[in-house]
Amino acid sequence: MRAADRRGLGSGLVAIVLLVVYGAPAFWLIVTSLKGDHQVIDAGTLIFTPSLSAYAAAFDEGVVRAMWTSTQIAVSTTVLVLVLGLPAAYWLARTRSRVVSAILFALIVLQMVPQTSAVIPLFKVLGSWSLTGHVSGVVLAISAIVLPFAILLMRPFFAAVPLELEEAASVDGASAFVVFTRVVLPLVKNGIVTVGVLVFVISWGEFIYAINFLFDSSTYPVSAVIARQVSFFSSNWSVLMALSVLTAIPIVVIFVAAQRRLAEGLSLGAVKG
Amino acid sequence: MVSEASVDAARARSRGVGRRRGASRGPRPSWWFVAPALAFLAVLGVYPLYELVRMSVSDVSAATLLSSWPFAGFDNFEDVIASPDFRATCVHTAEFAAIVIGVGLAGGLGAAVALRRRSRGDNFTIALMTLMWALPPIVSGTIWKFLLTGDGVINQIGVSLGLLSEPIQFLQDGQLPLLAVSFVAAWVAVPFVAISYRAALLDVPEELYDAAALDGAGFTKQFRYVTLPHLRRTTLVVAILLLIYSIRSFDFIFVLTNGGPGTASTTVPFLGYQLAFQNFAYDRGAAVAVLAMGLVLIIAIAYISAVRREDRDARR
Repeated sequence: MRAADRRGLGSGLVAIVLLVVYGAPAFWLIVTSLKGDHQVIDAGTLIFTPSLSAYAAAFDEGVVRAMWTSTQIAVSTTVLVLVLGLPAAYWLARTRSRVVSAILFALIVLQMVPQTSAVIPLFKVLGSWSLTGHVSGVVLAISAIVLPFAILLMRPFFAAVPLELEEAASVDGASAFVVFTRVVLPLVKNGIVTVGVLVFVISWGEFIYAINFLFDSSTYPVSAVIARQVSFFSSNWSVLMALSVLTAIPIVVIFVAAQRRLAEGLSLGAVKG
Repeated sequence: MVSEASVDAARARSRGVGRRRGASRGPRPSWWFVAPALAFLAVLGVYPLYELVRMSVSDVSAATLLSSWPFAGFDNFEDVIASPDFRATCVHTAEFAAIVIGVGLAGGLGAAVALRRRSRGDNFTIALMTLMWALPPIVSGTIWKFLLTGDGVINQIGVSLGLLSEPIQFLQDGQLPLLAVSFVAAWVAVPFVAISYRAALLDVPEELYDAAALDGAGFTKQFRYVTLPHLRRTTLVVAILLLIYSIRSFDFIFVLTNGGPGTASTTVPFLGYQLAFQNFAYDRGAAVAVLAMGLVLIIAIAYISAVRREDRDARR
């Protein structure tokens, strides 16, 4: 019998510890969001009367508008990055030239640029084009930092498509663009879902560009609303937790919906890429 | 869609012609496929970096940010390097990265081995961990601030159970804030590492375990001599990704401590951000950011050459 299939006492203990270490924070997040203002002082206690007053307060503070802004930012960024990134990744997978290695190196470097470094010149660049103070500036800034990552993650998926399929289609008279959209893209669905979900998740949670490029805090996406509250007036925990739960819900839904394609996509892209 | 018949035809053709390896006879995607992305990145990726470098050798304040910048030579760099804050943040960055890589690799490998079976319980725990990894950092950071803060969950439970005589100031006291932000960053990274290792464990041929078992090797010896050697490439790639992640990570510092108290939990890229956007010293912030970029460039080159070397070894 294969030793790796036997579950020892040690493995069982580690599994329980992991369940607690990752389950407890999520548990306390939800529990605290259901405590009213006066009950949250006893952070540790689990005996309380559930209340939706924290969610009501979040709605009063305009969480619906903030979530709509987040949706606009995340959807626009995802569409922009896929439209620019998919053809680029395909080209990089199908072209043999010195230029390809040079571009790949540049992409790896751009992917690694710390956001806290990029935000400094972007503030000036976007400002001189009058793009600060509006969500489009935030979308462009996030896209610039995510696009290299998306192209690099997508390239192995295109490389795995058998060339024969494209050759056959082109013999039938299809142009390169038609081959790409009709033959190649349907074959890399897992990759598109993986990249799309990751780009959406990253842009949904982004807050450092939003905080610095949007001047009016009433136009913030929900991630920036939390960032502002947690760092400046970190007292009202139940409202913060309610905001956090509302922010997390779309991410949870997307992850559960895309789970199977993601599992394949992540293992191909992240480790083997 | 392409029919199977035409695929077969293509295969037969390519056999008959005996074409050169890698030379496609299909329609080559033209430059137009890559040009828009490159143009976009030139304007919003590369040009800002050029502006960053220009800013770092100029005299720039909030008032002059959008006008012309007088040239200042290396004054900003000299100021920054001479300051004790900068040296402290360099040490913090190294400590932060060491904790994230150490805890990330050990925790991820431990989780992958402990949860290696495809049972319902194991799959649930992996799914939960993946979800925590995917949560917006601002959300996981907020949760951890609530757990770790002076009158937070951990302290309240610890005191009421009599485990602690008084609350521990995780986010205030000495070295603890840096440890706290590093730990939270590692907590978020462990699920990603675990998924990578779990996939790699599946690739280990089962015959090797059978052979080792026949030779009398128990779990520990099988792990040491069969499993670990197969995880080399994954470990290398993941370790470098963790290093990059720790250099870039600022979310948890921003939420949990804002780099403080003082600069106790500030890393180099976060110092650049603080100088620019909290002290409005854009020029010195840019100088710190340029130094951080230099570090990133070195890691990028190391990453590429390490992956190439591993690929060469694997092909041999």
